Amino acid sequence: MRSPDDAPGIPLPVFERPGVGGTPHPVLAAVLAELHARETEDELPAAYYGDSPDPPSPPAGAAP
Amino acid sequence: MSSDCLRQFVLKVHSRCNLDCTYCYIYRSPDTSWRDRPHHVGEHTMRQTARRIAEHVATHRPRSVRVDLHGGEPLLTGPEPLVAYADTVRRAVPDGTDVTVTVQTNGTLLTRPALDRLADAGIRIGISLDGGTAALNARRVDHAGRPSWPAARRAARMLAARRPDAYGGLLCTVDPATDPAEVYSSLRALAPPALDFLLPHVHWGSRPPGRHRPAPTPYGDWLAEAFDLWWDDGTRGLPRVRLFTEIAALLLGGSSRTDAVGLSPIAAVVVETDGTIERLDSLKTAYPHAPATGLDVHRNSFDEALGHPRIAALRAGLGGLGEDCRACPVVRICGGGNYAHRYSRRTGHFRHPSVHCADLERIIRHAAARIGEQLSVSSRSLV
Ligand code: SF4
Repeated sequence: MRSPDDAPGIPLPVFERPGVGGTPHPVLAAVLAELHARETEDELPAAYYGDSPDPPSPPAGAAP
Repeated sequence: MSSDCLRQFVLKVHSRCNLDCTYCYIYRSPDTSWRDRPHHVGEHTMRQTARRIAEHVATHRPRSVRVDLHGGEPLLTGPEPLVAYADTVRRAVPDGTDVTVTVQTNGTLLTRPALDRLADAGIRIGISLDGGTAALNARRVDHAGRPSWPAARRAARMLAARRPDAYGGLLCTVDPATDPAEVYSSLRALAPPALDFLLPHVHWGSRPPGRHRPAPTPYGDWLAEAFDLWWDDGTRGLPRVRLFTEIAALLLGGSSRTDAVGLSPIAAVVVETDGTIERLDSLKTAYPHAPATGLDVHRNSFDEALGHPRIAALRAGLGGLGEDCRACPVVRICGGGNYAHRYSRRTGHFRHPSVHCADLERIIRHAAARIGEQLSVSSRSLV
């Protein structure tokens, strides 16, 4: 099964990123809030082991 | 800001497991080094590991470090050694650095007293499950072939009802033969605060490695469907789904915090029950002793581990990828996928696209399309 959004070879779009609270979409809002929290933490990028649970990250979850 | 350092210590508490899952990447891998390890970690190794973590933290001053108590099945020791290990590390680490402790378990040995003991000690618990029904967990059986599901279900329900404060979440290895809607909804019914969907730890074997080979995308299709269920799920208590959150974060210009996608350097190292320092367990699938570094906490520091070429190889970002990946239009998001999935027995190295290459591009482009329904595209992408 292929879908129209699967277009190998084409560059990915760069999105205009709204501020926290700048979208009514609850899941996108949670991702934006988490990104904002990470960026204000001022830590260097680091990849954690996927076969372990993540500790709670602010804000936890994406509850609408 | 702290200097670049290790931030996640995967500490093996028990080197054996009470289950015999059909797809296990430890006990069914070419690396059988677990046979030569002590069954459980001793007090001396615990103290020495804690001392080494404290030394590393004192040098680099990270804001926080993660300790993951792992196995085999860590609860084969009962809860006391887990609490003792966590306490030993917490006592040793200097003020100013938070220590988050989690345990990853198959759930079958999580009794009510064990749960209370771990939760009271501030240890969060993650459970590995392939879905929320008996049929979806048919591959998770004990050494006599009996299903683990009844005990694992009890554990997940107890965790959600009794100690949600200690519920770390559920890890699910994707099986494309399953229905993503059934997997997603049955896992959600167990009320996890977090979920992750893991691609199986496999590699090219002796097939020729390369971009988009093989071309069908059963895992990507499965993940795209699961992404939609999550993205469009407007109900309360929606879990954070790590893989999807990280892909979305990358598409929005952030960096990844998982080794599954992105170009962030891996922050994790493993300490076996005898104090041996190793790379990630997923590498066991490549060849015997693929995770080995030759270092151990009794003789070596974590700074030495950080500088070890085999660990540096996991932290090399774009420069560590092969040509196919470096030229790929989705490389900043995909990052070549999980390091272990890039191995080829034919060439004997890891500088290849992931064996899940086509699936990764599929889910990344799908997530981008769904995000694009909500956000406008910057003119920067048009030049
Ligand atoms: S970056 Fe990912 S999608 Fe691109 S070639 Fe490498 S593995 Fe494939």
